[in-house]
Amino acid sequence: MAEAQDPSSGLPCDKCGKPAKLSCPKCLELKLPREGGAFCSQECFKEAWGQHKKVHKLQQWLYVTNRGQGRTQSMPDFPWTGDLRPDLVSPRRSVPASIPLPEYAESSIPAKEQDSRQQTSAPVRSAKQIAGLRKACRIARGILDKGHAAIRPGVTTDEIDRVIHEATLAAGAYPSPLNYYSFPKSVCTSVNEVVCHGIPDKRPLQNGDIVNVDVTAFYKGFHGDLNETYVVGEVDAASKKLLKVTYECLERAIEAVKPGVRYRDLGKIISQHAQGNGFSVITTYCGHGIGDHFHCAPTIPHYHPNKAVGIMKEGQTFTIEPMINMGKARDVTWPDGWTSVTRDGSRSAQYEHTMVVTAEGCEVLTARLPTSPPLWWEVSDKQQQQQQQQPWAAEPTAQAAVVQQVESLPTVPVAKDAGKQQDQQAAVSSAEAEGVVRGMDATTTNGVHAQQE
Amino acid sequence: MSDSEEEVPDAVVLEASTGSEQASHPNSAFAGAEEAVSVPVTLITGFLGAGKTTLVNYILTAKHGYRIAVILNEFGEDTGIESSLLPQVSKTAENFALEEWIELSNGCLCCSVKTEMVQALETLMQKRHKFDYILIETTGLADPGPVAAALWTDAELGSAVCLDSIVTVVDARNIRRQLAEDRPQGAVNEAQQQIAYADVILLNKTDLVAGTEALQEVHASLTAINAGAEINHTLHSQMDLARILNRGAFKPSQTSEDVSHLSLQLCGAQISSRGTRQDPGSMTRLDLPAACSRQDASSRADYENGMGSPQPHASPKVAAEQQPAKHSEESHSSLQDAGTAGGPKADGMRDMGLDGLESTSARSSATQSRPAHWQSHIHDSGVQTHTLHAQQPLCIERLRTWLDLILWEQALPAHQIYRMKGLLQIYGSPCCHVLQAVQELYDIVEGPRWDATVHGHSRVVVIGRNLQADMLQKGLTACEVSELSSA
Repeated sequence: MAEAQDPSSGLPCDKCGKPAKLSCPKCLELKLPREGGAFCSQECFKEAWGQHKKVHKLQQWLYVTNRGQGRTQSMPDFPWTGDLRPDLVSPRRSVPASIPLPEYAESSIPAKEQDSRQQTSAPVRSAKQIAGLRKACRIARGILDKGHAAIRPGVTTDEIDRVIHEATLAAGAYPSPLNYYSFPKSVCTSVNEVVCHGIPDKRPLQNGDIVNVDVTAFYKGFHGDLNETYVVGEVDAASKKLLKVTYECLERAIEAVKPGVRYRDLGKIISQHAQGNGFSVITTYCGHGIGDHFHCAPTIPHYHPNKAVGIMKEGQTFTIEPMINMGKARDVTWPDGWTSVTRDGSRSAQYEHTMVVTAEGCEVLTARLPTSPPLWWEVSDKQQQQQQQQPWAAEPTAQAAVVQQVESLPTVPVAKDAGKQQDQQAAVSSAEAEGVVRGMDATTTNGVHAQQE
Repeated sequence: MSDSEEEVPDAVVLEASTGSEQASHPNSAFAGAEEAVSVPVTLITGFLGAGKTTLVNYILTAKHGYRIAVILNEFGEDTGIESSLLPQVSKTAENFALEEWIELSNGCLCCSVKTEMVQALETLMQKRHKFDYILIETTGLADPGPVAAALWTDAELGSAVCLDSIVTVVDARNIRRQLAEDRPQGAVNEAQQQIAYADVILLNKTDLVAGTEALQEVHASLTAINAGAEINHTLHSQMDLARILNRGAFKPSQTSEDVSHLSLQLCGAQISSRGTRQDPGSMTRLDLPAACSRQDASSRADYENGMGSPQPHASPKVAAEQQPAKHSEESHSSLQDAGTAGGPKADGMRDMGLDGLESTSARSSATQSRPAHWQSHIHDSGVQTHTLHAQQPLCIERLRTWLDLILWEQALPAHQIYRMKGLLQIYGSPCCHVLQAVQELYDIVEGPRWDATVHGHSRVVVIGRNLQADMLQKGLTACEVSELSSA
């Protein structure tokens, strides 16, 4: 029922233009701007309803369907494999016009990337391209760290998405997942039995959860891609072991990377370590080439044996991103068309880096920084105790230093002067990795959980 | 406030979600589900009018007990897989009214190991459980290579579908003309290409070819292109279905039966390469072509001098011209470094015939498969078959390196290798091994133990364009392990 509105509001009827007296109740409920939902009469409202109600959909939190192309109001039916359920997803976040867009940002289809997939041989990048990729990866690392800092029980994955989205824009970058093949959000958040591509939603993280946050940033023509799995509050020992072993799988694979090595051999290293610890390896998803395209050649399976094509050469750029399960390897996709979960409902963990092959080995472009909040095994006992009592308390001076660094990064979207932001970010990181770095951590200094204000 | 008496039409109530509405299924439909049986896929190719559709209809109406799905794969102007239209299930026999588009499956395309086509087929299997066989019929000019490569997924993936074999239907009356047709410079003759990729060839419409000799010539023109395929003469595309379906050409493990089929095939290849008409049963010893014998001596010397112990070892590095040779920490027997930089590395590459500088123009006639009278009818850029041999057991790591280099790295100039098939004797293994290669993908799969009655040496058929037998043979020979050099 349309509700009366002050006739002197001056707003025209959305349908016919005459002075509006009624408001759409739904718009009121959703707190939408009055302008889009004002009508002179119930008749106009009724006539306009078919068209008008679309406005509500755009603002509603809904379940995702059809690989991101559809929305629905009630949770779809599915033989859920674990305890997790999809939740409502917030409306699409906007990107200011000043941010350079990747080819698919509006169309959702990366046509040029699709063409490039015809090639099975990985391109060798020039020094200039590698420099561009290095920059994008550094920015992506900073963004992920901010998301990490926001993880705690009670925070929804939608909130993590907001933090990531805003941090990305603040850096002058585009969040690559947004609208990539219609993916609805700016980051993938994968909780517990979700293998990958989880869609951020209204569900609050719970004490005991594990959650993977997968960030990709598109900056000045290059995509930087990385992900980490985090503990939420107190997590059981088995899950902690899963995280550590998965991280080690990635570490060991990276150790092997150098010119002349076959891409197909990485799967053996990863699967041996995972299976040796009683875990299994997801086969459906793989590491991939990256650069000016989000995904390109080569394809890097994490399982063994495999027929992956290619011999590593200096200048090739790609990700390694093993997904390791506590239980069996098979996965299945939710009705939203994106979220991949383990078929047996067991937990799954993942870590990912982007790297470039160098003459001696490789440079991990998304390496952790001294300011990166610690992964669970990096937190000292003392700090752990403190966090249990007061999650946000830590060494005052260290915390102050980190908070200062974090706060010096702009957190509001700034349309102009992206260059200034870059300078600020460059100044923030004191031990930034330049040149050849083998390890995943730039230094061994432990960071502290910095809370995003 | 004035209230309207009429209800707002289509009032939509937003249902609150508590997150626990859906009762947790204690036994999820997926947990504990058995590994799905993989449905075989046969790719049927051939020119328009060769008899593909007749074959498909024949298969569908015959009594074989399979519930078969037929997919027509339409290609647009582009011949790439990704730009192909969605596979369309065709209406075939009366019982199958299957006109429907296959929705692309759920699942991410971006970093998935499986292509769009494979995912679409898996969705079909999921939705219509009753199929236990798939036929994909390609259009007349399609290049079967990329389709086959896309379907040949890793066994580890446990895909719901698996490539079974490639069947090419050939019009006996027109094929010679089709094979001889010119193409603009560099472009491949599609008829040759379709024959090149075949595991099974149906030489169809044989009743329309006048005379046995004419038919034999047509048959010979096929073996000149693909000596590894089984050729069946047919009328109206009719033949024993056991020879078309379930061939298991790409299976991850090979049975004795598979191996003996392959062995016969490769014997046949040897025969056709010599242009003789010996009965396969009478072959007791295969003679190496002359060029290979010469090569043996020098390659063994290199091997003894510094290539290290004849044991399977880790993959050696590939050294680009600019990079100095590095000492491999994994083994001393890598191809490229047997001491100082430069020299031995170059020798190693040359040893495999891979430096491109030593190509000889003379081709060994013994390994050339084209009957002499046919040469004038096919351009040098046409598709050919060569059969390679190795008398000594092969080192599997060197073999993999060689295959990596020639299939991925264009190490042999101008060579375009479409398919390879081989029966291999691998050093250190009592079992025979089967080599299968399509485009850039290859696999070496263990078979049964060598039989006393089966030849204990390796044979490899290579099919492609611009092939030079001596260079290929050099490469295979360089993978041999000499018993004499064991330290």
